[in-house]
Amino acid sequence: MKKFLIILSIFFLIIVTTITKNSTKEIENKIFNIKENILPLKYKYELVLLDYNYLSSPQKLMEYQATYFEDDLIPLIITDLKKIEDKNDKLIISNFK
Amino acid sequence: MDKYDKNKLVLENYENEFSFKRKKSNLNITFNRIAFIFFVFLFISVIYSVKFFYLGSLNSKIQKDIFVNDKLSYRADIVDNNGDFLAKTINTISVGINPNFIIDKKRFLINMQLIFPQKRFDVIKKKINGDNFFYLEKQVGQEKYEKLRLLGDKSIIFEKKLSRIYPQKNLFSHIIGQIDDDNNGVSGIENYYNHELKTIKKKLELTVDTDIQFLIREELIKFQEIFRSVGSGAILMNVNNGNILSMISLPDFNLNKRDNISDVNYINRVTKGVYELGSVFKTFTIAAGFHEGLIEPETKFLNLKKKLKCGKSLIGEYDDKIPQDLTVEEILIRSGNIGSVRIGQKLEIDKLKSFLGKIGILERIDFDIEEVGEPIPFRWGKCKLATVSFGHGITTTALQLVKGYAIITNGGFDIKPTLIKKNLQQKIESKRIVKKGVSEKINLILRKVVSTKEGTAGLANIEGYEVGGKTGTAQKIKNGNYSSAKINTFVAVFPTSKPKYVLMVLLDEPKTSKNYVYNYRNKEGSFKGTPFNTAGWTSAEIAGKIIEKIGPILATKYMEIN
Repeated sequence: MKKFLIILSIFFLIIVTTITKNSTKEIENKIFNIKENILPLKYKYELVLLDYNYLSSPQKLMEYQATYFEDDLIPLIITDLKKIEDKNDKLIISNFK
Repeated sequence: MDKYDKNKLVLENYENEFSFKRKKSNLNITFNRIAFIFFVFLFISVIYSVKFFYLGSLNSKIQKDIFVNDKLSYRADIVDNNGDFLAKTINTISVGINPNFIIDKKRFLINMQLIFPQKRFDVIKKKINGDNFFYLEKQVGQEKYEKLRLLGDKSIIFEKKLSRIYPQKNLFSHIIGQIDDDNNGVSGIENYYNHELKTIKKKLELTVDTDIQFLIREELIKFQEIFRSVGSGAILMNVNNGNILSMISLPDFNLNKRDNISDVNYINRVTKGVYELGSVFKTFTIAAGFHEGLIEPETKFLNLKKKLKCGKSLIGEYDDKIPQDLTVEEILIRSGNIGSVRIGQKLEIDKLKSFLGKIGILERIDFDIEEVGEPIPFRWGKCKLATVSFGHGITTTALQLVKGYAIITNGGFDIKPTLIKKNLQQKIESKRIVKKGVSEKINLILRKVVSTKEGTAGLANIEGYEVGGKTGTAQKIKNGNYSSAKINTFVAVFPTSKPKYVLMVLLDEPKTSKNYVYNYRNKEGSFKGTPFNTAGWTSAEIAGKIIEKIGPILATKYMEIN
């Protein structure tokens, strides 16, 4: 009887493993498909990002500025800039160091 | 049997041969059957397991195959500190034709005309009548590729090619470098990290910042025209971790054009160019004196001569108005040559040599690109000690100069200049190599070089940044002799109360400008024309303009990480 139970449990384990493996396989397939679908989107995104990087590069922005605006850009004066910190719901304004 | 009548029932004592006994042999037969069934199941399960393992490994095998194919056309992208592309790989498809495989030439031409209506088909018609392979179109789009593929024509050959795009064009040319047609790096990061770029499956992140790089380059280009220099360069580095935020050398080149550059003027002046950098070395001499405990900022040197003779050469002051009695602090502020020589003599050869070696001036620097120059070795002697003390007779690269300044101003901690962004975990605790207290003394003096009227770099005194620094004007060596051409350098450290950045500006052979208008930084007023083509009037002015522009970005954007 004991041996029979061992055999039965082994058999049961084989069946469970098979079912688990099969269901895992399905999930793996789904993951693979999703990954495959993401890949072209990722590629597209990177191309759009490349376009964005090019069009928003400082060189391009300066070209737009020269084309569309009459005034020249002026550098910010550091002493005019302030640092705002939120400490215990209180806003502390201080100078840059 | 015949002796019994069939109609009579006869009862006889019958001895039954059967007796119930546990028979071992019978039980053995039963167990063997179970074992047999078990082994059958085991065998089946083994087969299933093998199949499972096979199926399991099949996926990764496919992925591996894809990766192997990818290796030929794969190159990781390079991004800056903000994640903006500096180099991007795009796989393009070229379409070639093998005329030998065309079955129906007329039909083939019609199909091609439909897909490529703008092409000149009289030329193509001639080519398909020949036997040689030719390219119909290079870099076709996805739509046209699909149409061509659907034709299923054996004569159409698709070639996957790698295209490297550099959206910032010239901006990072000396840093990024170039690749050849076989996807191998030939210069810059592309060359030094060639293996990593071909194998790592993520972007290579650099420490440089596109916005800052652009602003510095704009200023250099502007002043290159004003001072008519043959070239210029700049480095902006974090003094605490060695991260390089900007590194420029002019002239530069457009990476997208893939030109074969042989003109020596396109050398990377800040890493490859090895120069005598002049008075910027006086800071090292004085720092070495502080490190050895031989001098203090207040230590006074009396009766300093106006001229010193050493061997055949004569050492003099660039400014005759320099007093004969000077403190160490005044020697650096007024950039006194003779005073520096006296400090050097006090140090002696071993101590000065050891200090310069320690901060990485004398040996070739280990950097992230291969275009790195090697300081010219020399034999130390009494005269050499004297000239090295004020930055002559000793050569190094601008990058090593920047490293040296970072170490002596950051508290004395060793750093390694780098272009590659490292994870926080990868950061190694830096070791103190210069004694505690040296930086504080040096920073105070460097601030005075910029902020006092006696200092040589007043034009770099930008309000709000506590700029400190040292100028260096050196004669350029041409054909083994000193020429009238100069190398003007200014190394700025800011803010001097707690240094975060070191900015170095180098001009190669600048000339005076008659029309440039200077606005005084330390006092009211302005004046026209460059009086001397020294670093104080050229490099310091440029450094001031650069800090004015990049300062707000550094103060706001990089506040958290410092």
